[in-house]
Amino acid sequence: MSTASSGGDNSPDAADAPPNSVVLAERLGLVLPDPLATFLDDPPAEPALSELLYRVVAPFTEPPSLPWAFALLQQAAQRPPLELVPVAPVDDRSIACVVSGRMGRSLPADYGAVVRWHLDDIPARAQRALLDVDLSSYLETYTTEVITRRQGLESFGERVAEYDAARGGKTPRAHEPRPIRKACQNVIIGQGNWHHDGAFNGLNVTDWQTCQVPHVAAHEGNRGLLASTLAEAFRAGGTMEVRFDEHLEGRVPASLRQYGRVLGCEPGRRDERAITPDEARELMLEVTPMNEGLREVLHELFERGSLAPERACYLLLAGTWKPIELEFLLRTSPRAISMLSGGADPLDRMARQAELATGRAAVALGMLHARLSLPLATEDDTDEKVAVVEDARRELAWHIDGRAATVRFEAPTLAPQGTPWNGPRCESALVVAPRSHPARSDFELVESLSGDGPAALVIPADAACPAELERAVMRCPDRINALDRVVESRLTAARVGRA
Amino acid sequence: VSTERYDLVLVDHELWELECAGLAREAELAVRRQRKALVGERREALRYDRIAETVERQVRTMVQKGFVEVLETSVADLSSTVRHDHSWVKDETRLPFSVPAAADHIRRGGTVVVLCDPFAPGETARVAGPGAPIPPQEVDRVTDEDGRPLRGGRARRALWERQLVAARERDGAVVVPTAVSNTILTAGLRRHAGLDGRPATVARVMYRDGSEGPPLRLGAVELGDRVPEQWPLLRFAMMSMRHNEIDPDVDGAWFRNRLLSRSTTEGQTDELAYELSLRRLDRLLDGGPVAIELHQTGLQAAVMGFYRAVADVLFDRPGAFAVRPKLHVPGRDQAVDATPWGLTS
Repeated sequence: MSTASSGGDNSPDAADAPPNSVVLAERLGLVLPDPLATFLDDPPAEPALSELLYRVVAPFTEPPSLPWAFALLQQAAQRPPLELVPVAPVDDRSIACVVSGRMGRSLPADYGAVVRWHLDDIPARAQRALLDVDLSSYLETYTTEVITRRQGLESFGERVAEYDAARGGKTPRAHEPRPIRKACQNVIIGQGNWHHDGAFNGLNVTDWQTCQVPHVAAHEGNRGLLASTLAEAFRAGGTMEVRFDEHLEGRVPASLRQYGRVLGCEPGRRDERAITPDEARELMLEVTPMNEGLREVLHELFERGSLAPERACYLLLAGTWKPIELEFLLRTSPRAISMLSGGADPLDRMARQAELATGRAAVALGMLHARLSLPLATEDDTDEKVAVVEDARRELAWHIDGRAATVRFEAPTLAPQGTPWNGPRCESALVVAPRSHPARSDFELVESLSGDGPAALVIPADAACPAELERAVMRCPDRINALDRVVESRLTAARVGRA
Repeated sequence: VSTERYDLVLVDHELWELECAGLAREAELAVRRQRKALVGERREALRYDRIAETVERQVRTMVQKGFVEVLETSVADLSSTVRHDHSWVKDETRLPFSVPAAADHIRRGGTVVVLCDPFAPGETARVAGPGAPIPPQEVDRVTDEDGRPLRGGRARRALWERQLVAARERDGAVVVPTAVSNTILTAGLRRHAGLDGRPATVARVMYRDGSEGPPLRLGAVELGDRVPEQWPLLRFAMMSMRHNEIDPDVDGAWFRNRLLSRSTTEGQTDELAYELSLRRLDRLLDGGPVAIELHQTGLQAAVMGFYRAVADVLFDRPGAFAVRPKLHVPGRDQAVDATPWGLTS
């Protein structure tokens, strides 16, 4: 194998040696994608990357030598597949690898892609996450990020100093620069600075920088910062165009384009300096967290022209309605669209009565979901001396039956310490029917559902219920008036949320 | 989706008077107060909400105890011609459902209370009817003579001007004042409010939050730059308690900040500013012609509301008063004079 640096083998034999890619492919029995073969035989000459990119360089027992990287990869807590070829560190505890093929086998579906392999023991769903669609694109992004990182940090530092001096802690208005940082467990994963610009009636982004860190899923910094950017573009009331003319890179930042490629909708295709309104819509749908059930019902409404995607996404991103609440509204009530636009006139009591009852049910459902999602208590918790503030909520699956207005929660262990709100004992599933004023037919519904497993009505704390039917209800801690206040605040937020 | 079911509860006169009549009267008073309240004010409406909810809960209790008769209906029978204000009906012509037994009950002096169950099992009309997806917005771009995109203040001015020019071409064109700066907004309104030899037009005023303000009359008022010196001069800050540094230079504030800074849509803020301005102008002009010096710092909806009122009053009473705008621009110590809404010379 020939070496690629001045510290390598310069003997005359080296000139006749087969290319690195050929040697590697033969020794490991791999089918290398063309960009990887080119990379191995002729690594990029960029000086800023000389200590980062893994290549065939002596000494083989130290970074950035490729054999050293292979050895490091083999020490990972989860054994990597043989077809992964390390190319560069992503961060201190994960490595970017190119997916190759194995000789004699069919090529993997992600052949040629760049994926992330974590060295630590992490949840299986986060391992081998897609970093970029191919090595050439990855290297272009990697190079840009490395070269502009320091300048970007300094520029952002100046923006923050200006902001602190000018605003004195006051929330800026839409047209004033607004620097924001995103952090996870005290580690910054993204930072940006933007303001609404009336010159093009869109968002002007002057700083936008993200990074990958070991304890956060791949591209989560990009996702979070992009979600905030697009939410602000909507809130500020512009056309949803996001321009990067004044950004350090002079175009849509490389990391953002890379994330777009991973999602299948790379921004900057029509205008390299901007996310256009239609690209913004496409991206907003991708970066807004929602389950498949909600995505399905929203798409149906978008297709029918009842709802603009960015409005629905904004309501979710701003926390106006939680995903389970929004899906419940959309699947059960013909008044959902009116509610998402701010609701009916309170003096139109017929409409208001229906909207409040629907809203109360949705809010109580959201409370129950939050309660069921609390982490399972462990024995260690009893010895805890210091409160640990950690988002350790569990992911629960739910299914909403629109015709019956019921919700089925599912999880391997749904409520091991007992169902909240004096609900029926359940193992892995629970069906609830949220109602603010349960009618006789609602009790009959629950009774019929009970044949298939635990089921209950979820009602406000002060809702009327015949004593003999009390065992069929779960009383949420809030009273009707308190729920009404929450519903009203959400209707108001939906009405005036946009500038 | 599930279906909405409405129960018509027939409450006898005595029971109604005993349990609900007092609450219902309070609720009706709240509605009357709400109808007189300022645009966007919801306090009385929310009070009505609470009282109406209490009335409906009393009636639900009566239903549970079997004190009253219940007639079931469905949303399909809901009348679209009757305004559905209260959930209790004492006038048979205001019954939202055409159910003879309910009408008979009212004729006998009873009250019908309509209770909604939004989650009755069944399939109703879809949440949305068939339609085409709402397209993404177009980018807003203005270019110079050479086709290069304009930037900064020139672009902002040109974008606003483009909307106003379109609104002078035909009735019903939309102008969107959201995020247009105070200076550009005011100058554009002044430029297009006056007579220009073409027929007057009426523009729709839409805001980015989806709300709509009252229509804006353009090209209808005889306007000049002259403000007669002999007229009494009244100096106002546009908004109280917003920029206190203006206070020494003014006699008062045109709008109370508390009224215009509530959580309402921009369209409602515009409408409120318009109505308040009409009232204030009406009272001011009782004493004869005046010159108003208005110190502006922003809030597009308030600026729109104020100048719409100015244009409308001047349309009815040409030359009755004049406005001299003083624009306070961030970063400048002195207010900037804008073109007056005055008399022709």
